[in-house]
Amino acid sequence: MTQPLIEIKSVCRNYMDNTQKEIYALENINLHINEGEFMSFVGPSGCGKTTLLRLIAGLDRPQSGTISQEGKILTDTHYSRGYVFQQPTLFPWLTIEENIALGLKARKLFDNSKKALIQYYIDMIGLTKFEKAFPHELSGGMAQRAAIVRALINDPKILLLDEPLAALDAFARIDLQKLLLFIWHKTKKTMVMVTHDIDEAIFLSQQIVVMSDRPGKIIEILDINLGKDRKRSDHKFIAIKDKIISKLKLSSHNRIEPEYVI
Amino acid sequence: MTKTSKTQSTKALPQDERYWKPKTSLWFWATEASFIAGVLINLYIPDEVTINPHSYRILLGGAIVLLLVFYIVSKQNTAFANKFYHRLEFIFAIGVFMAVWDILTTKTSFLPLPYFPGLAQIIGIMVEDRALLLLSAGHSFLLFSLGMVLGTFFGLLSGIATGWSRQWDYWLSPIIRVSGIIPAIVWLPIALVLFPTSFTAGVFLIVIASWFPVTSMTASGIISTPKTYFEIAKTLGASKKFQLFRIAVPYAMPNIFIGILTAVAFSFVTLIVSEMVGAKAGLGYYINWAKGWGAYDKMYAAIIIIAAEFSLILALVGAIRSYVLRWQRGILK
Ligand SMILES: Nc1ncnc2c1ncn2[C@@H]1O[C@H](COP(=O)(O)OP(=O)(O)OP(=O)(O)O)[C@@H](O)[C@H]1O
Ligand SMILES: [Mg+2]
Repeated sequence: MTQPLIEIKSVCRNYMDNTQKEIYALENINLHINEGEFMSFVGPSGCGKTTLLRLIAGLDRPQSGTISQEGKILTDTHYSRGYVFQQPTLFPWLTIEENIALGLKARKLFDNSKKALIQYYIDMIGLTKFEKAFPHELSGGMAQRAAIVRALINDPKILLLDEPLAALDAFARIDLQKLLLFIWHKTKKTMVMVTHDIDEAIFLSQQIVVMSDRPGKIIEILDINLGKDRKRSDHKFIAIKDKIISKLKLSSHNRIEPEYVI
Repeated sequence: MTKTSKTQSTKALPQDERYWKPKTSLWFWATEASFIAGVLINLYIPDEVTINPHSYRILLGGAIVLLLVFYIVSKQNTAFANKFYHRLEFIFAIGVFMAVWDILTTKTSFLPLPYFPGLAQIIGIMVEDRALLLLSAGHSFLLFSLGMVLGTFFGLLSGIATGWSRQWDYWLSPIIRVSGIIPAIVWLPIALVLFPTSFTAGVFLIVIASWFPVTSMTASGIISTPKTYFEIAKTLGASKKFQLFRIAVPYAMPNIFIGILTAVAFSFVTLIVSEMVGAKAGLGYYINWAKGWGAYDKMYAAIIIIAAEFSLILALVGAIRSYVLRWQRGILK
């Protein structure tokens, strides 16, 4: 068996709340992420999805257990692991092209020969003519597209996305789902996405990691074998969705989870 | 007017909000009339005080011609016309004020001399004493800009250091806080002893006056940089140095400019007071010297020069600010 790109071994992460009580955000997480895979995390709010994604990015460290990339244990962030936040958070003082070029500038790799690459990405996300615009001149969807491409400029091995589409309206969301699929097919990059939207997870992913309520544990890892062209009305699609919903209901201590009721 | 506001697309609306005064030629003619009245009053009412009204008349004449030029330009250029018409009422008031002032002083001696000289007298003195006034203005400007540039530079250094590093913050913050509340000018006696010339002492005081606001605003700007900004930069491969100079400092820029503008105001006060007390040159010194001779007309002349010089400096700083912060256009009103 080939080595997974990311290997998570018995990872725990606790937080102290303000009364110094421990909150178990993640408990004994074991997970392999293989190269080229599109994986989604779904689970109730507060179950530790963001925590897990931040651990993989190196923005946070586990209390126990290890996370390694190609056999090497992670200790810090690295440009080979790109990260996209829920809010686009482009830097307001940089133009769109400067925002996108930032990764190259940070690594001192930016020169005139890179301009064509930047332009390629700008054209790809349909922001031609907005190169010199400042972020506040963009809509939420446009800004998030720019933020995704900004994370791609360093050609990372893995792209980590924390509910990247949650702040968008339905149209922009569908647009961006297509963009993510396009990027994934084109670059064959490993992608890991957190989402609240089960439809979205099934529509995009090869694997869905279903997580339980606090303390966050992995309940099940589902392989989605639906092929390239997925229809939300397909009966297989619906069957998978029902399965995920029932898993989530079992884990949620009979709490009503309105966001999963369709 | 309705026609132009229709043809001017999106840009016309904010223009109208900004320049909201009625756009009628009536105010133009009223303004011209007020300045012409000023000339006639000066020409035909006999003087109570012996002065040389020549420069004053040239000034009024110049104003009349300039207004006419603006009027003609405003017929061609709508953007200019908007601004011009908006300000006309105020310019009209200036014209009336000048005429009334002339009557109350030079023409009737209603206001007591030498404390309230006529404008004609002040303008006359300004022209007569122009060499010394220019020299003083230049001297003040040199003192101010040297002090401001150095003070801003040191302020940026200490502000970045305290905003970025806990260690620097621990050692510098108490010193900054204590020294910040002491007005810079109180160090004047010590500065005059410590420094070889009154000029260098003045520079020192302005450095202190400008250093504090720049330091504290820079530090608070850097400290308040959102954590996600650093996290994004880190995942993009940014070093600590990059995070400081390419993320935190640009983020702090609006704050830094608030600090610089405060520093400019502090420095104006420090400049004039230090020149009045310690120096042998500059506009502050000129005022003090004129007062010593009872030459209030010279004092007013110097005050007008100070107002003009400081306005120019503020405009310059404002221009630099709006260039550096051009990304804010559209975010803020
Ligand atoms: N910095 C922190 N300090 C203290 N507690 C935290 C911190 N970050 C997260 N937590 C806690 O850890 C738990 C998991 O949080 P996390 O943000 O990972 O959840 P999530 O699954 O991403 O939720 P959501 O779907 O709402 O985004 C929550 O109970 C949260 O209160
Ligand atoms: Mg989250």
